[in-house]
Order: sequence, then structure tokens, then C-alpha cells
Amino acid sequence: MEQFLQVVFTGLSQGGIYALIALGFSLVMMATRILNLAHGSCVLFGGFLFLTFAETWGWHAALAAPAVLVAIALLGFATERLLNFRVRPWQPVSLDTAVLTTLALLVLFEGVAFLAWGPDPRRAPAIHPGVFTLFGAVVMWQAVWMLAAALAIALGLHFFFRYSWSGRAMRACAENPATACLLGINARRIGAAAFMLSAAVGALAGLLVSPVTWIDYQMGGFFMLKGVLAYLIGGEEEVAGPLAGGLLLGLLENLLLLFPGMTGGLLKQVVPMAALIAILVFRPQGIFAARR
Amino acid sequence: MLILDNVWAGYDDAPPVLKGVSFAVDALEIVAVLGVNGAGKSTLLRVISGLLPLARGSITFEGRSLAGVAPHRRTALGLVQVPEGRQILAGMTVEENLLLGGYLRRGDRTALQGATDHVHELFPILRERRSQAAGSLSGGEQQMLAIGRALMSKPRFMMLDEPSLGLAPIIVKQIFEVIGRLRDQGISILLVEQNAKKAIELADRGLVLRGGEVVLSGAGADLWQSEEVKAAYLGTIDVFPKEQQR
Amino acid sequence: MTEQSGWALLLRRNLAFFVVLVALPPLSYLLLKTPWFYTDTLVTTAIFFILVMGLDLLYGLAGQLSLGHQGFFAIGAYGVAILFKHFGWSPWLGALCALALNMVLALGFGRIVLRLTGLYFMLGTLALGIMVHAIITVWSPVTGGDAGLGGVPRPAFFGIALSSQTAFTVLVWIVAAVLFWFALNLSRSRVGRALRAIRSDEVSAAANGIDVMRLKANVFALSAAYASIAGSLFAVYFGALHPESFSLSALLEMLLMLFLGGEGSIWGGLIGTFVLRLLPEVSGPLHGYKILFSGLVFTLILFLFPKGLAALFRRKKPAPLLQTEAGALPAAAPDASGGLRVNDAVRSFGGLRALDGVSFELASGRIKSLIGPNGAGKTTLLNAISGVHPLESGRVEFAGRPVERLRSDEIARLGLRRTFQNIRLFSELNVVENVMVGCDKGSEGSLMEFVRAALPTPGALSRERRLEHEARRWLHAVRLDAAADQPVSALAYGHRKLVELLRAASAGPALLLLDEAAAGLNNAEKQDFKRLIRDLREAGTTVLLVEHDMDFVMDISDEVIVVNFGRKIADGSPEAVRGNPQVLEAYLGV
Repeated sequence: MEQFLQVVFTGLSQGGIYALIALGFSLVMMATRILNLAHGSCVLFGGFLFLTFAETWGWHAALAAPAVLVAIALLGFATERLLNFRVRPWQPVSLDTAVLTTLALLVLFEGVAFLAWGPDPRRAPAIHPGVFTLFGAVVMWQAVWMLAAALAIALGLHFFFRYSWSGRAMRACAENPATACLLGINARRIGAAAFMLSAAVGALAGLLVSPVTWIDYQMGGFFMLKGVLAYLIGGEEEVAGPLAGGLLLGLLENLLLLFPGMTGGLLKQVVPMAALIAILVFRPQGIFAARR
Repeated sequence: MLILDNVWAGYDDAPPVLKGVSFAVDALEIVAVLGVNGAGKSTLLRVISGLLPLARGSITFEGRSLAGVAPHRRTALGLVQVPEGRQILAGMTVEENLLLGGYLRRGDRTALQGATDHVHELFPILRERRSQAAGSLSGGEQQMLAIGRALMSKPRFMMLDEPSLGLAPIIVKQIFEVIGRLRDQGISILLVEQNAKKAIELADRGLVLRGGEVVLSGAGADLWQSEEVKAAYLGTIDVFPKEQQR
Repeated sequence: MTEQSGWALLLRRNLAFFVVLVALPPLSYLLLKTPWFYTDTLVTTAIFFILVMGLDLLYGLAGQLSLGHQGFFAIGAYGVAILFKHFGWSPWLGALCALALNMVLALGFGRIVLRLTGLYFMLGTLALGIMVHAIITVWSPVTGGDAGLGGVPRPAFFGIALSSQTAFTVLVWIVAAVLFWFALNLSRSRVGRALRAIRSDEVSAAANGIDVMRLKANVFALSAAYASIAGSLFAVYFGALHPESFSLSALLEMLLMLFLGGEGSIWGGLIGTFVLRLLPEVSGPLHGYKILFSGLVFTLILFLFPKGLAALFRRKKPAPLLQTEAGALPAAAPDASGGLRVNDAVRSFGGLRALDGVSFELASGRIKSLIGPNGAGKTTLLNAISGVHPLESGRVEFAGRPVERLRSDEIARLGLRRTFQNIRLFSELNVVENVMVGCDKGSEGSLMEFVRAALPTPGALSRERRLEHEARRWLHAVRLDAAADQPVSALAYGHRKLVELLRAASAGPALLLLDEAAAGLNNAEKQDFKRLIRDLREAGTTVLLVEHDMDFVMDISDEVIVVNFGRKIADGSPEAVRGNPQVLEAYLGV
């Protein structure tokens, strides 16, 4: 029983990270219809940069964390400019171009990560170190932060999209950028804002997960895959989809690990991907289909 | 108020759609632009809104040149378009659509409330369907929403692209009534329409586009009865085909 | 024009290969003297060239971006290794087995994911690639897991020991050359043309009789086959496998090789692979610079040279011919009757009833125009008849059978062709190739067709030549000879519309649908169009056209049907319709 609870808690906390990454994807998809495959790099850099600020430079976490978010937000801005500099705001880039360019950026960022932080896996200091027991299972405080962050961001984004002007403007741009321009919305600025916000959310995921997992320069792709998976499982509903998808994915992966030995490991890798293919074929709008 | 001078425009590699269009719309008048599909009516509105660049010529609004002014800035200047096919945001509620129409006045809550009330007054059905998804409205209701949305930014100049498209005659009547009232309330209107009779009845002036050029301008019955309008829509009454006249 | 014999064409096209074949023995001798480093580069270049060619067939020709190509590569490699390690099978047998497995997997999986649109196809294949990689990494007892799998021997090739570097180099390059020859032939064949048509515009391809799904599935299987062969060679050459070589990074490297060399050219992959293989294997901080460099190059390529280095070597087109007198239209009588009958056609969009019970008939050999105010449902009707957007209810009878439930490519192959409102020519093909798609009357895309395309006989090459001549005759008939070898984007609007008409007409359709037949044309061009349509009717084609220019309509039509709000309001001779007060009202306002 304790083992089961342990798995559930681990699953939820990991799911929280996946949900954060998926929320980042969702933001950019929402506002620009671009699937940003380089998003995983924002997560990676978030983790590494936090490592540099908090450990190497010895800043206090309360200073380091916001600094990381700001820095990565700027990276998001640069990515958006690169993708869109030749394009009119109301005529988005082609899908192939977006996918290939973001893949190329993923590789580029991998190289930068290698050069800046070396090939070895690293670990950042925790925001909240230590553990406690809950119903017999051991829970890390950091894990609580991960889940809490996911819920908080999800809630925040929900209110953002529903009740704030920028959020509404983003939804308008997602649906119909030409009409949004006719309404007086500066689609270019909105797109840039979406990328920046998405990058910051990704960086948050990175700095929260880096104390728990060893990260190395190649993990950009890994984070990206988890995020995409969570996003597609959950569906394209702005907030509920990525959140649910992320949590489900986290739980699923860890529950599968309950299977003994190698079977567990195998299932953990294969089942989510098989589920993705099944969803793409039978219900591409995801489990929580948008209210369209 | 709005002056077009020798406007030429086209799409990418294709030959120009608009060939030297010149006309003006003064304050407080409704000008109708007529012509069949392919004559250049929608292109004209896209050019005025800034979604399509000019190849040649100029457009001036309230004395200010619109060259290099991005579409969202033109809306800020008071030049608003209700696009063809309504283009409402189907995934959002009626209320949200209206709110977004008022995006440019988002700082002023009182003004927005006033504007929303005004729109509800013009189109009571929109108040009724306030929380419904905009995509679930009928064609006529969507058209009303599109116009209402355009009104939210307190425009001084409104362009409507084929508002009667796909709508039943009785709804068209209602909508045209509202358009007339808008002019009385101080908004100048440029109305692009295929439904010539209704448009000419409503408008103060009309002009006919054919093959990207203005072939006729005038008012009222003169326009309606003219051979040009008939020809523009149904071809010449001549028995002999054009090629034999060469 | 002199018709060259099929044999002469075969010889001319493959001259380079024959030369290489003859030069092989002396080349092999040279190889014996070459230091290992260079032969190693040669071998790995060849292996990755085969791999990238597979990707190029799928993306460069058919426009499908698969992000799971490395998965098929992995199965090809690990298949050989596992079958040897655990069952003692010879690598040849293992390779064949892996190849079969890959093709079955591709065909099955392809049927599922190729139905998905671009983004979802990419994600589906991405998932497949990752699954394969995950299985390899985790299933240690079978695949050796992270530690990898080793001990794969070089088998003998009919007695010649392949353990020698020279022998292996020669083998690998022979395989690469043969596969390259297949791919190149395929690219230049009618199948290659059909694939490029699919890449340009799937809807338009289907409307021209190309079985899109089948072609996509088969080219997907073919690309998997190439990856499999590359994988098997990889396993046998290195003797040991490690999951790292089949990861996402491997995919990114493949994509870089493809785009650096030039996607779509087939041989561009060779340049890309060679350049990248030349980059030394480095360790330490230099490894980081290498990755950074790759990423940078990839990004730059996408922005500055999307067609890759191969584009720099593009052959100059021959000088344009002088304009000649318009020739006769090489139209032949169609095979079937073009009669059309539509009953109670209904179709809605959301709440709007675009077609509300339209019924009409069109007798074979007549020209009928469909007119009505904007939004009246005309294009919807054409889309329904041609199978692009089927009806909700109602019946369409063509060529003596009901067609309302058929796909658009099936209806096209029954003898129906159409043009589109916004001109859907194939951007990946030049002008004469576009018309050739028409002359070719579509493509069923079976595996046999692929095989015949990869191994062209003299007869097949003659047929292609005849097809090209026919297409040029059509272009000659409208004075567009000079434009034949140009890309479609170089043509003026009116000429593009003409080419689209030729593409449809050259298929000898029984029924021709023209959507906005003369929109955007100047007077001279409209006369050309009218003449063409009349000539086609002379040859026996039935024509249904949508048009707004009333002069045009009244002049050319035998009958006119008017629709408004999705309903028919008039149907008869042009004079009757023009005088009909209801029609006047519909157009000028109720």
C-alpha cells in the first residue's frame, strides 16, 4: 500500500512538471498555431541557469528564480522573432518550416548547453530541500512545490485567458489572426508575449525539476517529448487539457513502473507512445476536447 | 473623409485586381460599392484596411496618409471593417466577441459598458444570447454580432463587406435598417454589396466596379436603372458577342 | 519531332552508370592502396546516403515529413544483430527478415498515420521512432540495452570474404549505386511526378486521378525499406550497435544531411552526407562546438538555402523557342459518355444550407453554365459532383452509375476532370509536367507501378517520351511552347489558368467541370478559352462551367442553370434565362 501511495505521489509531482511543459506548448499553440519543438530547451536552460545563479554564483533562490524566468523569457522572444521575422503577422509560417526550424534550434541550443555547462549531468540545489512522510510514503518538499506550481500556473492561466485583455487577445489571434488585427490587436506583439510567457513557464518547470533529476545537455529533446505527449493526451483545451494530460502521463508512467523489473521499464516507455498514436488516430482533439 | 487616389493593387504573381481606383467618401454618408464577384470589391476593402499593400496610388483618411500604417493601427484611427463572411470568433462567447471589439478602449470600463449597452439596444438578440458560443448563432445573428463588434471601438468610418451574403431577405432588411441608423448616428459607411437594389436604396451614392475599375458612379434611381449596372451584372444586351465588334 | 527509340533513351540516361561499371575493377585496385581512414569515410557515407535517400523519397518527393525514420533504421540494424546473436542466422537472412518486417510495419502503420494531416503525421512518426528507441534501450536481454549489442560478423559474399575493408567498400557502394539508380528512376518517372503532385496539392492530385492514399503508403514503405537496408549494412560494418545511434539526435543528423544536400534532388543526400561525414569525430569541448555548428548550419540552410546545395547545380533550362502559330488541339474523343444527372443535392455548412435540393441534368456533348449570386452554392455543387466534398443527401449519376459516395480520384478515373476557383496547379512540377499529369490520366500507385518506375524498360521510356510530346502539343495549341519548361510560378495568371485547363482537357475527360472558368482573364484570353471549350465540345467532351461573366456565359452555353440560396431558380436556354424576371431579381436584389 505504501508503495502504491509512493508511486502516486511521485507520479503527481512528475506529472506536475509535465503539465507545466505542456502548458508552455499550449500557450504558443494558442496564440500562434506554431508547435515550438525547441520549448524543451527552455526547460533545460531554466534548470541549468538556476544552477549557475544559485550554486555557482551563490545567489539566494528568491533572487535566482525570477532572474532565470526573465532571462529565458528573453530567449522566447528571440525565438519568436527568428521564426516570424519574414512573415506578416496575419499570415503565419508554414507548418513544415516551423517544425524544421524549431528542430534546428533544438540542436543549436543543445550545442550551447554543452559549451556552457559541459557534458556531465548536473543537479541544481532544491528550492525546498528535505522530505516528510504522508500516510507512510516519503514525499519530497520539492515534489510538493512541483505539483503546486503546476496547479498555480494552470489556475493563473485560466484566469488570464478568461478575464484578462491580453489573454482574450491571444485567443482571438489563435482563431483568426487577420480578424484580430482588424479589431485593433497587434498580432505580432501578442505572439511575442505568448512566446515569452511560454518560455518562462518552461523555465519554471526546469528550475523545479533540476534538483530532483540529473539534467544534461541532451535533455532538451526529452522534455520536449514529454510536453508534447502530455499536451496531446490532454487535448487542446487551453488549460485543463495540458494540466490533466501532464498529471495523467506522470501517473501512468509511474504506475507502469510497478510492474517488476524490466517489464516495467519497457512499458513505461512504450505505453505512453502507443497511447499517443491511438489518440492521434481515434481522438486527435485529445481526451479533454476543446469546447468548439 | 476617406480618399482613394489611383489605387492599384493585386495578389502576389497575379495581374492587378484594382486598376486605378479613385473615389472619396465624405462624412456622414453611405457609399455603396457594387459589382460582381471578381470585380475587386473585397480586394478594395482589404487594401483600405491594410491587409494588402498598394502597388500604386494613395489612401488618405481624415487628411492623414495611410501608407505604412499597420492594420491594427488603422482601427485605432477609427477606420473599422466588418469582414466578408462575418469572421466572428466562433470559439468565444457573444459577450467576449463584443468585448474584443472594444479592445482598443480596454482601459475605460465605463465607456465599454456604454458601448455594449448601445449594441444591445441596436441588436436585442445579442443581449439574449450573451453567454452563448458565437459559433452557435445563426447567419443573421452572426452578422449582427460582427457589426456590433465593430461598433465597440467607436469607429468614425465603417466598411462592410457583403453583409447580406447568405442571409434571408427579411434579415437583410433588418440589418440594412441598422446600417442606415448608424449613418444617422455619425458614422460614415462604405458598403460593399452584390445585392445592388437594396444597397442603392440605402446608400447616398453608389459606384460600380467592373474588372477592377470604377465604371460608374451616381445615386439612386439613375444608378439603378442604368445600363451599366445591368451590364455589370448580366452582361450586355447586345446580340452580337464582343469579339465580332473588334 | 524525331522519336528516339526506347533503347537509345535508356543508354543516354544511364551513361554515367555504365561508365562507372566499366571503371570498377581499376577503382577497386586503387582502393586496396588507400588508407583505412578514407575507406571508412567512404563506407559510412554510402550507408548514410542510402538512409537519407529513403528520407528524400518520402519528403523530397511526396512531401511527408517523417520524424521516425531512425526507427526503421534501428530495426534494420538490430534485426540483423539479434537474429545472429540469438538464433545464429546469417546476416543476409537477418537483413532480409528485417527488411520484410520494416515494410510490413510501414505499410500497416502508414495506413493509420498517413490519413492524418501534416502535424499529426509528424507526431505519429515521432512517437514510432521513440518507441523503437525505447524498446532497444530497455529490453536488455534481447538488445543489450544501454551497453549495446556486439559481435555481428561480416558474412561472405559468394565466397569473397567481406572482412576485408576493400571488399566491403565495394559492396556497399554497389548497393548504394543500385539503390540510387532505383530512386533516381523513380523520381523521373510518372510515379515520381504523381508523388510531387501529391506534395504540391493533395486535393488537386486526387482530382486528377491520382490515388493519394495508396501512393503515400507505398512510398512510406519504400523509404522504410531504404532505411532498413542502411541499418543492416550499418550493423554488419560496425559489428556492434549502440542505442545512441538510433536516437532523436540521429534523426536530427539525418535531417541536416538531407537539407544541406538539398531535399527533392535524390543525389543531394550524397553531398549532405559526405560533408557531414567529413566533420571529424571529436570529443571534449569540441563536441559541443560540433553540435552548435550543426544547429547553426541547419537553421541557416532553412532560411537561406531551403533547397540545399543541390540547387546550386541546377541545370539551366534550354533557351525558349520562338512563338509559333497556334496549332490544332490534340483532343481525342473521350471513352465514356459525359452525361450527368444530379438529384436533390443537399449540403449544409454549420447552420447554412448551401445546397437545398438542387436537381438538374446535363446531356452528353453539351455545354452548360451554372450561374448565381455569390454564396449561392455553385462551388459547393461542383465539389459535390467531383467528390471533393460529398453531399449530405441526394444522388449524382455520372458515366451511368451513382458516384456520390466515391472518392474524388475514383470519380476522376471514371472520366471526370475539373479546374479550381483558385487555380490549383502543382508547384513542385513545371508547366509541361503539369500537363503530363493530365495526359497520363492519373496514377493508381500500386507497388507494381513503383517497381516498373524504378526499373524502366525501353518501352516505358518511350512511353514517357510520347507523353511529353503530347503535352508539348497541347501547349503548342495555345501558344505556350515557350513556357513549357518553366516553373508554374513564372507564368502570368491568365497563362496559369490556361495550363490548368490543359491539364484537365488532356486527360480526355468525358465530363469537364470548370470553376470560375474565365475569372481574372482579359478579353483576348477569354476568347482563347471560349475557343478551347468549343473545340473540346467538338471532340465530344461535355462541359459544366461556373462563371460570372455574363457575356462569356451567354455566348458559350447551350444551356444555363441559375441557383440562388442553394435552390435552382431557372434552367434553360441562355435567352430564356436572361429574360427571366426571377433571375434579374436574384442578381440585382429582391
